Amino acid sequence: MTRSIRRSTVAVVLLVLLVLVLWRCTAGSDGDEEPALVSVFGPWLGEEAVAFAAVLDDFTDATGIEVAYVGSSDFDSDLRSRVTDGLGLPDLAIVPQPALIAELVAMGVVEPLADETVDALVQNFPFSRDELVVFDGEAYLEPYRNNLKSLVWYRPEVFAERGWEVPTTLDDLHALVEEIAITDVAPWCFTMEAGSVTGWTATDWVEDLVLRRGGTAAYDEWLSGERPFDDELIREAYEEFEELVLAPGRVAGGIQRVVSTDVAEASGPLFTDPPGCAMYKQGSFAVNWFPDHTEVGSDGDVDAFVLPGVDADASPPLLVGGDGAVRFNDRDEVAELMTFLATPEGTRAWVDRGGFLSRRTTVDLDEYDEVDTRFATLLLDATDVRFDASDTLVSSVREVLLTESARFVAEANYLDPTAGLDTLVAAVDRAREEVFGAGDGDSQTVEDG
Amino acid sequence: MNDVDDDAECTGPGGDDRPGMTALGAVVGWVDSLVPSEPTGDARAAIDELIPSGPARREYVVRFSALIALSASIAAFGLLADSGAVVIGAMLVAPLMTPIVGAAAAIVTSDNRRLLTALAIIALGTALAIVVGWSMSLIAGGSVIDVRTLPQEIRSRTFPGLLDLGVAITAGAAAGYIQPRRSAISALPGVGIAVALVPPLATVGISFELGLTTEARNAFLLYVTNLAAIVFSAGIIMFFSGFRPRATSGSGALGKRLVITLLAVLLVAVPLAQHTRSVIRDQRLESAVVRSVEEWDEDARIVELQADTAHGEANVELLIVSQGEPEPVWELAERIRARVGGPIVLSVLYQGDDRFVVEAR
Repeated sequence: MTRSIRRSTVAVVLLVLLVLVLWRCTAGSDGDEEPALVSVFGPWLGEEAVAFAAVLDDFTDATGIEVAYVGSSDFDSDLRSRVTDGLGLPDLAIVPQPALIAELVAMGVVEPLADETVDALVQNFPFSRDELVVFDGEAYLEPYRNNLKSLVWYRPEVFAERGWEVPTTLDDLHALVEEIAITDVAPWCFTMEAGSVTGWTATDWVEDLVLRRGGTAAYDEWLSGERPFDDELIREAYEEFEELVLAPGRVAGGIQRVVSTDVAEASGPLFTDPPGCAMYKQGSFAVNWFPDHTEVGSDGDVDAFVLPGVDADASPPLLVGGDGAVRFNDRDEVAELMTFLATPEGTRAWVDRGGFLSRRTTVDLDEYDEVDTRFATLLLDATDVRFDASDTLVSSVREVLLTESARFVAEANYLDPTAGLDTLVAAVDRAREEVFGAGDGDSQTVEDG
Repeated sequence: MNDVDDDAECTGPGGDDRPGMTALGAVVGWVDSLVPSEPTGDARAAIDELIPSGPARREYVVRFSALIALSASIAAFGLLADSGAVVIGAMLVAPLMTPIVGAAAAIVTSDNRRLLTALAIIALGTALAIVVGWSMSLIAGGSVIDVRTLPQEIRSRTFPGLLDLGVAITAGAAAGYIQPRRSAISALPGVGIAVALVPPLATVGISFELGLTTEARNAFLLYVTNLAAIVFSAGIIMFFSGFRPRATSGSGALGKRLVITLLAVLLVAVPLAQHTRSVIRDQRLESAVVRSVEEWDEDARIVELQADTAHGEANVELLIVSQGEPEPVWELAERIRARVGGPIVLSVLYQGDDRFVVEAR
């Protein structure tokens, strides 16, 4: 062996050792983190979680209190199990279902709002201290964010190109859907997968149709249980939903995509070229789910119209949802965060990003972007506003409703069209009767302002 | 380059016979003083022949381009068809190792003209392979693959890891060892297979065509890292084999050349260091995830784990099997966040059936 070979052999060995040493040094220790002072648990993911984290950053900047947010796709069942299985509660939770809040309050795990939080709410929202009190003379729920559900998103450019017009009545909408269905574009984008709450996109559709076909009085009867699910109006709403959205050729990707695709990914085909669907019915929060750099507005990539009502002259009723905050801990830091969230400062970072609406009277309309201004105006001016029915149902009923509605969608277009619907209305009515027996059907008293 | 500096400190000022030299120079001097031997004329010739000069160069460039185009086509089809065997075939056709080892040799011998030529040829090959990958994807890609379910062969090239770096460094060392030794030349195709230069380039082209810019960037990073690591370690091995700058035109010119050589080394070291940092981060994240899963559910078995960090945010995708109902996934996310100390987006597919998404910020 020559010296040169020996030296390069040594070098190879050294090099291998170097790699190994590098490896050992780098694959080691984990970072340590200071425990967060306030923990927040909620349903927001993706863009919504990023926006809320920006709000929390503002809070940390202002107060020095660290906040850690955890969002879960199975928020509903996760929060329940944190209560019932003793897994440790967060300091604060963002809850989109008034009924769930009512249940948690009834279980005695929720701390009442601090006085300064109540003061901040009264200053910033159009309701009085008395209207906040919901249980045993104490206020528990802090309304945080509202959303407008009765919206249909579409691409103005595509509508103009194809000569389609925004419908002004439900009948017009049916005609438009038929017109679109014979083209290469599916009328609707619609999907349903949402973990333990799969089915809510379907119930939103049905609720909007009940509200339009039956009016607010009938909707309230339905909500309170006076009107059962086995009712002509409710049955017809499910049938209309099936005909409009689920019939063959009506939905992008067919029922297979509806069942298997996450709700946040539903709008994908709307933005492809050529478009896979023409319309997408989803709440104001859908802007957080659109592809990056999507321009929203009448001159933008996508715009929205309110799902029309029966009559072109009357403004259609609005279905809304909302997210409220409750606290499980009465520490000062938690109260401070709750108070911050009641003020305009506690919304600003999200308002700037778009996709945030609320009934705070102290947030100027011109702080919103073009589309949110329109939505906020609709929300503030509307007379016929109703809260998402499924969110106000007690959990056992809601669970049955969501499961049955999801099954109804998955089995759409089966040979016997009424069999699925019969099972659905019977199951939900039975669940509701069981609960009424226990004396809890009035959960909408905690309705999120 | 710190490692070399460290070596210098460890060994002391043994080779300080050239005043004013850098730490690297000190090491060079020290090694020189140990065994003052020159590489054989044959070894020099083997290196000189890598990139021909004069009229033969034109012919070489034509042959090189043809082989790159063919190799990238084979690689692209192999990637799209998700066939590992075909991709390996493409690596055997790929001629990129020649100019890369040539560049390493030029750096070590401080031959700037040769270095520039080698770099130009590498750039040509790089561009050509990307364009060919892009075209092949345009011709065949859209109809055969779905953007959401990329073939494994493509996906594995868009997640460069520490192992890839280890492969590139050792393969580069092998190249530096084999190239000057004609008796060992039959081992060279193995080096080509090990480092796989053309498939990442074809992946860049394919990803671009599919509109996947992040994937394209990652694949290109894998390529640049491989390139940098090969040049780096091949250069070191050649240096230890006795290759040195040729002092042909006075010491001033030699100094200038050495500066350029050092710059070239730095140029190679920057992407290498950057990439190493990012793979280390991902490696840490992965081990944090593995340990957190162990604590979270001791029966859980990780079937698939993908973890990377982008814009200060950790993205983790897990396929987990375990017994019974899943433990709460938010708890797992909190554990991982406590370990990595930053925001995390965690997606868990449990028993290949239930999907949970949790974000901890």
